[in-house]
Amino acid sequence: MSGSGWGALHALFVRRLHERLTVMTQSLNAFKAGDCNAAAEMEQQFHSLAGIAGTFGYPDITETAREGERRCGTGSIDGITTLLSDLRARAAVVSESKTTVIASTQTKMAPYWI
Amino acid sequence: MSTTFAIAADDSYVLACPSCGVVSDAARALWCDCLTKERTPRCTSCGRCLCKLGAQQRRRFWENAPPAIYARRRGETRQHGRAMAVATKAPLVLLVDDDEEIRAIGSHVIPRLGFRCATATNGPEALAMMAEEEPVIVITDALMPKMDGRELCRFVKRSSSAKVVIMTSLYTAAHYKYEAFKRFGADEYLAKPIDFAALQATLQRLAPNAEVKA
Repeated sequence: MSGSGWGALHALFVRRLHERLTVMTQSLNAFKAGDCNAAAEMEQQFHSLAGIAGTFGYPDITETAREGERRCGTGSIDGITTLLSDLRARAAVVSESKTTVIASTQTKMAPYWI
Repeated sequence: MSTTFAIAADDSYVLACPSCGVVSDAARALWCDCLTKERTPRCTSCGRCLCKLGAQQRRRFWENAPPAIYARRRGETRQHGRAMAVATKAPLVLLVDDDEEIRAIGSHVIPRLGFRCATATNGPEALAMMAEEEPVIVITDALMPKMDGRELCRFVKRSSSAKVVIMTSLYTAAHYKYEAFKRFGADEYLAKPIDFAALQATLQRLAPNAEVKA
């Protein structure tokens, strides 16, 4: 990770968000092609994303990722394509956003951490 | 005493050691680890560092130093000062998570709460690190490859006095929270997404002597 502070952390989050979306899309395609293990990979990616997005101040991404994790956990991929499209749209917004999001959403956080 | 910087033929700065007189490339000089406020270049030949000189000699030395070396001194001293302040006082927190972002956040936030922070990507790596230096608190993700957080918790509780905090997604919280406390002996529980106020409260509860840095 280059640099330090929240700016660098946010940049890391954005980079990993796009990487996760790529992996999830590949896993979805693999699942459709008959690879049963791909659902577990998708579930893991959704799980990680749900955990990290809220920490960075994006509860909407957390909720969407949780829904994806839940669906993958049940072995059904119904609606996963829609969820991934939704996440891609949000990722585009996140890429443009500033790190102040973290400060505004972590309201209880001490200001000296920023 | 002649502590001099000079410009070499290839436009790099060379440093003549005030002690042994050996001339070396200043940009490649090692920097001392002495417990002083500033870091100074150390001679690559005799190993003597300039912080051993008197104040007047040091001042004269830095007055003659080229800007690049002076800038490096500022950066080295700042980093060194932070590291020494933390290393000499702060208790160690070991953060174990397979997620790169969580480790990065922990490395950023935990030192600001008055702790040193070490990170590991899985249970076996964490146990190997604990053989070197025992942390006061181990914060571990519940779900990890190789060895999950609950299993790590059990190992830690058997072999050390470290407090263990299990961390997992709110989505799976109830199940893991119950298991973490009842079966694996965790001391605390944290939910993801990480609430920094909750993290701060948890660390301070488990290690009340740590000083929060302003």
